Amino acid sequence: MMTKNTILRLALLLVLPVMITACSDKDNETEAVNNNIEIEKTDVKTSSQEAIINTANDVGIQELMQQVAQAEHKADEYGFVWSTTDGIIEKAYAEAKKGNENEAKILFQEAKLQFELSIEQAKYAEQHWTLLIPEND
Amino acid sequence: MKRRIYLSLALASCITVTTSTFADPVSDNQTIRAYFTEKFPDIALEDLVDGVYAIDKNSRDQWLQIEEFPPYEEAIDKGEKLFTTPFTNGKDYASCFDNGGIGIKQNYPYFDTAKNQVVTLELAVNNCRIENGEEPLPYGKGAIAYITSYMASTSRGNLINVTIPDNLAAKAAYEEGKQFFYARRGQLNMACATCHMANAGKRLRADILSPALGQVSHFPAFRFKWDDVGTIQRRYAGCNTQIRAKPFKLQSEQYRNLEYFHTYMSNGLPINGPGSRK
Repeated sequence: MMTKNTILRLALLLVLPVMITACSDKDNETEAVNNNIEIEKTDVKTSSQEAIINTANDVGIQELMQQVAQAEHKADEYGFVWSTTDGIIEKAYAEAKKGNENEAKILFQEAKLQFELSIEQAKYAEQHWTLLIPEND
Repeated sequence: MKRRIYLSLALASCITVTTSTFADPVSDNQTIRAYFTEKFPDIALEDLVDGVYAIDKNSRDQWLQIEEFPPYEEAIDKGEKLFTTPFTNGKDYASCFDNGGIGIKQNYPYFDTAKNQVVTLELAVNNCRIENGEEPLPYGKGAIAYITSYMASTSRGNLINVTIPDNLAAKAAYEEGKQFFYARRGQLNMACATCHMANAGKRLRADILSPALGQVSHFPAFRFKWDDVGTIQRRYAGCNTQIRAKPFKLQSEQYRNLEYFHTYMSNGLPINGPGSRK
């Protein structure tokens, strides 16, 4: 049976392909395709946010903070930390300081997830980094 | 007898593993050159040192007008002054480099077999300062970029000549740089190669993506975004941030190895730095 964490990871992994559009040069994409992507993006985003909220409710804030610190340490070792994660942690601490425990927990959970995804990315890169090397015919 | 066969087989497999772990850099270069020759059949590889200005005529016309009054000239002047000013002990930068530091940019980075690490020109400048009892300069911009801009200007036209000694550590550093270049990272899941190999010459919003080949030739570069000159590693950090990856420290082992691979790729192309870029 799939755990909540597994569902959460799958949901966020679904978001990644949508994000990988920065180098796209397809000027001729039809509006219909773009609209479909937008709809998919919204659906995935909603489900992943719900998953983060649900998972964040399962643990206490202290334990969550500890988990974040551990995930950060591990992600840092791999050298694949995302630039977005530090800002989320800062916001989480600010919310915790204000006494908004639920908001803080959601943000800590999101940060933890980003660290975990970056570790997955590093492991994938270790196995598949040669895929982008051009082949000499 | 059987034991001998097993030993021979074990030895043979060890040799195979060792040689297959590291790709042949010469063969890598041939592959990359063939790739860009095919991608830009009407552009001579040497012209790629001009980056997107070799690819897009409109951009080139604008750039040539900018080059009539080069925005990096002030940096070269400042760099020359810094370079020739003696340290407190009376020695100067020239005492630390071959040929007094003139016309040597094409040989950097190199692999220091005594220290087992890649030494970039910026690192060598700071090593020189430390050896002479001075504080190291902050990396990326400012004085260190001025000094290396001046050194690059004295190396113009010299062909990039980065060597990889027959040394396991040197080959590992090259390989690590190569892996960094081709590995996807950051929240956008992109590698250096995503933009500068596969999509080189294509548009990313209003900008055209430059080809990886020749990129190092014009650094340090004056970028209008920076309103000053900056080093190649400052650009690496910027690229990493753009793909939402946490950048490494400038002159970290990761970036030095990346610069090693990235520069070796352009061997044989002329230095034309400092350059100006959008």
